[in-house]
Amino acid sequence: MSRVTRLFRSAPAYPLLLPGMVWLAIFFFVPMYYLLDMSLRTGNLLDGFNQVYRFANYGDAIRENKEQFIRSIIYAASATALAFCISYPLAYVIAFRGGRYKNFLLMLVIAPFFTNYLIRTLAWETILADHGIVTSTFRSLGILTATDKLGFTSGQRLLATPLAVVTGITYNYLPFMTLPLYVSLEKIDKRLLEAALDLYANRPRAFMRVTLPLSLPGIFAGTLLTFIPAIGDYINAYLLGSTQTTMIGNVIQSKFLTFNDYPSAAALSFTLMAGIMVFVIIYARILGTEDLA
Amino acid sequence: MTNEPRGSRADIEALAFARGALTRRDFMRRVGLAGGSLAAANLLAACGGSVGGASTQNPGSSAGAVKYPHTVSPDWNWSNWTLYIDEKNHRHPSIDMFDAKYKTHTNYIEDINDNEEFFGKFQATLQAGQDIGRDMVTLTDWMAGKWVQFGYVEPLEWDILPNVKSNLLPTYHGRSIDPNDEFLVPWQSGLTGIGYNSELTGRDLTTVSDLWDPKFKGKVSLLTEMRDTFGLVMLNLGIDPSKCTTADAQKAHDAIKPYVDNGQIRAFYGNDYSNHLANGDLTAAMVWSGDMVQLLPDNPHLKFVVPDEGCMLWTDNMMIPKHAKNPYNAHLWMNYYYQPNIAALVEDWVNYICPVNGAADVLKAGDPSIGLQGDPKVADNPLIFPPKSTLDKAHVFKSLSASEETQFNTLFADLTGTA
Amino acid sequence: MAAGTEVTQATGAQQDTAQPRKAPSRFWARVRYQLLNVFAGLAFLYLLVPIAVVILFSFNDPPGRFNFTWHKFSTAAWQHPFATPGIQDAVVLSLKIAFLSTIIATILGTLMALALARYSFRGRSVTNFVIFLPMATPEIVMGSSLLTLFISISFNRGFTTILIAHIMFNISYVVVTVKARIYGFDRRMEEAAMDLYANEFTTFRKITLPLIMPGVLAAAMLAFALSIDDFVITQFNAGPDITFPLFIYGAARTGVPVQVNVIGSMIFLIAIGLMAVNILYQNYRGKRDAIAISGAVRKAQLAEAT
Repeated sequence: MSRVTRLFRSAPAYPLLLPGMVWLAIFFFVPMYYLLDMSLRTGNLLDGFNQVYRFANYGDAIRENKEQFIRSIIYAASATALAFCISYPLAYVIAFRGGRYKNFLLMLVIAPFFTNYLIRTLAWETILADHGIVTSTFRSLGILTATDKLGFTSGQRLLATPLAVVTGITYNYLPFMTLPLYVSLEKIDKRLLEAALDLYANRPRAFMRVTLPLSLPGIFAGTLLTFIPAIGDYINAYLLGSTQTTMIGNVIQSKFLTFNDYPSAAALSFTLMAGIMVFVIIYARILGTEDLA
Repeated sequence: MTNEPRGSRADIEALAFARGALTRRDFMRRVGLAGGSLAAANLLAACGGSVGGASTQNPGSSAGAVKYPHTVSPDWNWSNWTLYIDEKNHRHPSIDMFDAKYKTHTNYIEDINDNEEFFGKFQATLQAGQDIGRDMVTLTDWMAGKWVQFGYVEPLEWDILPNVKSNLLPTYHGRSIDPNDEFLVPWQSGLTGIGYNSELTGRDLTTVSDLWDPKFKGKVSLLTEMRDTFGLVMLNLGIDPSKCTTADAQKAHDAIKPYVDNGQIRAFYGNDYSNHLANGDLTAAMVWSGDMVQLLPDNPHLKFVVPDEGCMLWTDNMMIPKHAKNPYNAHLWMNYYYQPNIAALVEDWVNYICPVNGAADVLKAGDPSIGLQGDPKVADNPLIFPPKSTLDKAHVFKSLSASEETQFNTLFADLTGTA
Repeated sequence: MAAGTEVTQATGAQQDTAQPRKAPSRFWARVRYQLLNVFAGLAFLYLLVPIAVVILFSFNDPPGRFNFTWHKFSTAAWQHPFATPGIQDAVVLSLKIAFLSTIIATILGTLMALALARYSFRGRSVTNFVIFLPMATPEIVMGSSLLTLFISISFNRGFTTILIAHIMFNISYVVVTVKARIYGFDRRMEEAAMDLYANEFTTFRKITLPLIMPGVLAAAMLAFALSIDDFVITQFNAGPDITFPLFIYGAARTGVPVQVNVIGSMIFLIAIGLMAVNILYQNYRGKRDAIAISGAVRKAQLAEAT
């Protein structure tokens, strides 16, 4: 070991970490404490919120908004699945067939991020409008009749239906899925694939035995990076949805910012956070990946 | 009314039927009829253009003691609802003229989208007794009443509001949310009724029940303002929203709920119903009157109707938040706006109901000195200067106690899906 | 993509002629091959159509207040992008917040990345977890918890609280981006420098910083982009202040002015332009290095030969 390395080893890292850690501690972790604290209070804006350690706030909040919780899980899961189905072939094509256009193609993938989140969601509002080309095409092809039957849409329209909300969420978080998938596919040694082809002599089997398992870290990261923001989203449900498609984010947002019912909003927010933590831990166990950051 | 902790202010009971329009005393004196619709009926007198109705009360007589330093600040801040002032080439001529006249700069901030949401943003600061960075805000009467009640509003200095004194329509004096005219100056009033796209309906709509027509399934929206939505539905059920109870709210909720569940109602909107009506995503909706006039360029098939069973009436008020830094500028603006020609200039664009006496006449004739062309179409528009027959049907929602408000809101949130 | 496809088609054709017996399965293999490309093409369409709509409608001249249906081509909004009242203040506020939060988050994050990449210390995995957590938290939870903090301590929301929030959510992204870069470069260069200069600070300034600079710049760009685009956390903590995304949210209720599309398109084109320049520059640098190396090799060969 060289002198320098030893010096680095012994030199304290803490001064470098301190400012950032303090910032995160004060503005990420302390707020979590206050959120928990608020979730156990009762009261209203004018009389103030008193700490009474009312744990029933959680029961009440969850019971009253069971529907929205379930809907959020279903929408976020659907959007994640859809994003995966779109992203995997896309990332595959870029990684294995992109050639010298790889960077350009990747740029196209993240292009949506360069327009504002609200603007692109509003663009979907225009695209899916009841009298737009997309809706009328789908209608005349009978697609809407099918999706109406399945409950994805209703009333022969796209806007203000679950399908529109899921489409918007999928769109807004798609790059979060594509990029990690691309990174893990790109890392795969092409010679391994050739060897697999020789071994299994069958493309689908070679894919299942080699490519897919090797891209597992990308799948893990991609699904989490899509699912987590999707489940807390409320803009897509607000702009593209109806009263039948409100998600838990809409409830938290309106309770915090419109009705000023902080305790129950905090209880919902904290439940969402805790639920996601549990989910991440279980998911990490199943897929066997620990290192995310 | 039974569960209403009313306290010492006897006058407030008038809110029960006059929320933001008239005190009971005024009702009796002026019309001698009963019910909330009267308040509205009185609005018509001068609104229709007759100039006769000069102030019968002496506003501010009891609050004349207030004095602010009479120095114009180089800039001041005013929060208003979006699309609620005259606009020309992306400028606001009325504000530009004001700025030029008084050598100030008006930061006109269109950041009010929802009364509750706006209140939520500032309540903590107001409660802490601090300046909220706004010298004037424009809130709907029930919310304005709340601010007055909690002492979040600076009193007016009437000595420097001569135009308001002489041109404020008499019906707006002594409203129960501000019985002594100490705090509020009306900006605009409006009606809540039904807007629809006649091309898509293929027929005229006349009642709230028409919104439940299965043909319009998924193409109907109600309003996020609980008082407007519950009010119209209560009228439809034969309940007077000016004296409704929690049980009545429950009835209104129960009347709406099936249509939420079966997807008849697409959404609850604030101002945002307008784009959906304009592009045909909605066939019919509960709407505010001024919007329909403004939307005609987007879609000439849009119509506003006062339902047979009645409509809701509301007023947005200018007021000075407690501890505002530039109350004098706000006063200057109020007084400036209450010149009939300036009010007409704003009205020509805003298209709600104008509280300034004489504005209709100026609108008809035009005023070249401020670049206002005569616009008889607006002056004669029954939505902007409503006839008595319309105002007779207009109701004002009652003032809710804190506990009622919570109960009403809970019922309403169950409908909007954000319970 | 196009080039790659052509090449394979060419080889496929050759093989077809070489082994005519296997033609049917070859045919299906090719269909399958092309199918994937078509699918990728459709995915790109899905990604890009909304952007095309945004840009297209920035040239619209709507008759009323809604920019939803195509009416008439006009460049009026492009000529006066700040004509709508309030939009300029909103954009300026967004830029201010983005610049400040980027600078502060980049400094804090880079320091943390250096510590994590360089030292092994007690609490390293805890630190990694702390940095990971904000990225695994939905924005609405971060936004609402921060709001609860500000409400609880009666802190007025506004410029300061937006800035605090943006720095908070940016730090983690900076750490991750810079850390990846530090892992990627040769430590021996630093060690050599340390042996020569024997001064940690000089080494940092002359060797470490230039080496990690591309990573720091990438992190800064990411932070800037995240900040200028952020809606959720900002909505919770902005109080009365209006950033550009909040302006759009307000406008969405009453009619989004064409200017919003114009500014959205501008941000998009600037970002794409910067990225394209970056890609071209990296290609150029790669080529330049290759030329330099090959030149050196040739020189050495020449020297050897003579």
